[in-house]
Amino acid sequence: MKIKNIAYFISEAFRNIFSNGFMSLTSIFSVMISITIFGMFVVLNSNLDSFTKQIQDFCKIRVYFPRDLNEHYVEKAKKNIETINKVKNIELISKKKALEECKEKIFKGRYNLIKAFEYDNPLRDCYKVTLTNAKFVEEISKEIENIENVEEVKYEKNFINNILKLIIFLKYSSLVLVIFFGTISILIISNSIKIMLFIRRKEINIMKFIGATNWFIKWPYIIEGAVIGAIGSALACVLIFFGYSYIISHAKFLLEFTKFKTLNEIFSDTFLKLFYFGSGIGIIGSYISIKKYLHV
Amino acid sequence: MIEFVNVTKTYKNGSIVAIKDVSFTIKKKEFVFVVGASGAGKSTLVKLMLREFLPNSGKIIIENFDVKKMSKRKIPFLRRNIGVVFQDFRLLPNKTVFENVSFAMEIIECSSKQIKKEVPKILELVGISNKSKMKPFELSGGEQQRVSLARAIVNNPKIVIADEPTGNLDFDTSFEIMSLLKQINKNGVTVIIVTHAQEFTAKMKKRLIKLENGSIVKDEI
Ligand SMILES: Nc1ncnc2c1ncn2[C@@H]1O[C@H](COP(=O)(O)OP(=O)(O)OP(=O)(O)O)[C@@H](O)[C@H]1O
Ligand SMILES: [Mg+2]
Repeated sequence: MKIKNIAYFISEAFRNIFSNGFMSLTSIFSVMISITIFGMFVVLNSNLDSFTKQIQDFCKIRVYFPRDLNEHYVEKAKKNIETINKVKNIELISKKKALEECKEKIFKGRYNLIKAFEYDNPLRDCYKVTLTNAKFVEEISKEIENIENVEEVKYEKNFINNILKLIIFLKYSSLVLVIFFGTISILIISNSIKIMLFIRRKEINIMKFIGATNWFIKWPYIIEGAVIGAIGSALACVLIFFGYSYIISHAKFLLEFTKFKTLNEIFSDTFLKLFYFGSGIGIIGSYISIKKYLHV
Repeated sequence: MIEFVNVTKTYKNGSIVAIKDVSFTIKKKEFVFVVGASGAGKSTLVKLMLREFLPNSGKIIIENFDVKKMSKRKIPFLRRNIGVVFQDFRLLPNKTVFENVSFAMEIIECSSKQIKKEVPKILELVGISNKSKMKPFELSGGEQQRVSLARAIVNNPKIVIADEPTGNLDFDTSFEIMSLLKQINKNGVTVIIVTHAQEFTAKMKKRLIKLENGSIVKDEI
C-alpha cells in the first residue's frame, strides 16, 4: 500500500464522517456510552485484583496443636505444612507469646487475674499460615488437618468465602458485559457504515466499473469504523478519568477498606486497553457491513 | 481482443433469454457498432464483457482474461482494459469535472504528478477544459457525455465501449462525439458503439453487429 493511498483512504474516511455528521455523532456517542459502562467494570475489576491481593492477608489459616505437645513435634509439623503447595508463609505464635499478647491486649493492668496461667498456660501453640492465593483456603486447610499432631484448623470461613464469591461474580459479570456492550457497539458501528455504504452506493458502483480493487473501495470504510470506535472510546476514557478521580478524592472512607489504584496505573493498563478495544470493535463493525452490503 | 464463443445468458432462472448462443470476434483496433431494437440484448452483451455477471454457457475472452475462469480478485484488472461511456453518464454529482476524471486515475493508483499532467490533456481532447471546475449538474447533456468519455479514456484502455453515446443529443453534438470516438480509434483503441442511431451506422461504413432477440442476425461491414 502506497503512502499516497493511505492519505487518500484517511481523507475519504473523514469525508464520510463529516458528510453525515449527525449520524457519526450519534454512533460515536453510543459507542462512548457502551464503552464507559464497560470501562467502569474494567476499572472496578482491576481494583478487585489488588483488593484480592490485600485480602490474601486476611486469609490466614490458624493451625492449633494440643496444649501439652512437645515443641519438637510442633516444629516437625511445620516442616510438613511447608511442603504443601501454595503455602506462602508460616508464622509461629507460641503459647507463651500468645499469653504475652493476651496480657497486653486484654488484661492490661489486671495481670493478677491471669497470674495462675503463668504456671499452667491454657493456650495452645499455633501457626498462622498465609497462602499465595486465598481461593485454596478450604482445600489447604483440609490438607493441614491431616498432618500429624494437628489438633484444630481455623479460618474465617464465611467471610472469605463470601468475598471470594463476590469477586468471582464481578469477574464473570464483566465478561458478560464485554460481550454485551462489545456486541452493541459493533452493531451501532456496523449500522452506521451500512448507511454510509447505502449513501455512497452509486459512487461505489462507479468505482467498481472503472477498475478499483476491492480493498481500495473497502479501506475508507474500515478506517471510518476504526475512527468512530477510537473517538467513542477516547471520550469514554475521559469520562472514566473524571469519574474515577472524583471517586478517589471524595470517597476516602473506602480507602480504609482497600487501596485504590492510582490514576497513572489505571491510565496505563485500562485506558489503552479500552482504546484498542474501541478501535478494534469499530473495525469489526465496519467489516461486517462491508461483507454484507458491499458486493465487491 | 474480444472473443465470444457460443455465449448464452438468461435472466430469472432461464425464463428470459437475453443472449442466445452468440459468437463473434472483435480484433484489436476495430471500430464496431452493435445495434438492435430495445430488449435485443445489447446492454447484456456489454455487461458480460465487464463481467458484471457470468454467462450461463459459452466462453468469453477479453484481452488476456478468460472471463469465466478468472478469479474474482482479478475483475478490477479486467475492467481497467475497458473504458465505458454509460448511457446515463454515471458522473459523481458532488465532484467537479476535473475530479470526475482524476478520480478514475486515483482509483488505479496513479501518482498525483501523472494526474496533474494527464487530466488537462484529456479534457482538452474532448473539448471541455473550460468547464473543468464545474459540477455535472451545471453541464448540458452533451458536455456530461464528454466528461464521461474523458473518464473512459484517461487510463488508456485497450477497449472503449459507449452505450448509446448519442442517445439524447442533437445531431451536431452526436456528430462531434462520434468524431471523437473515431479519433480515439485511430490512436489504436478498439471502439464498440451500442446504438439505435441508424443515421451514423450507415454513413460511417464500419462493421455492424445486429442483435435480434438475443441472437446475431447480421455481422458485416
Ligand atoms: N436484470 C434483469 N433481470 C431480468 N431481465 C432482464 C434484466 N436485464 C435485462 N433483462 C431482459 O433481458 C432482455 C435484454 O435486455 P438488455 O438490457 O440487454 O436489452 P437492450 O438491447 O440493452 O435494450 P435497450 O435498447 O432498451 O437498452 C430484455 O428482455 C430485458 O427485459
Ligand atoms: Mg440497453
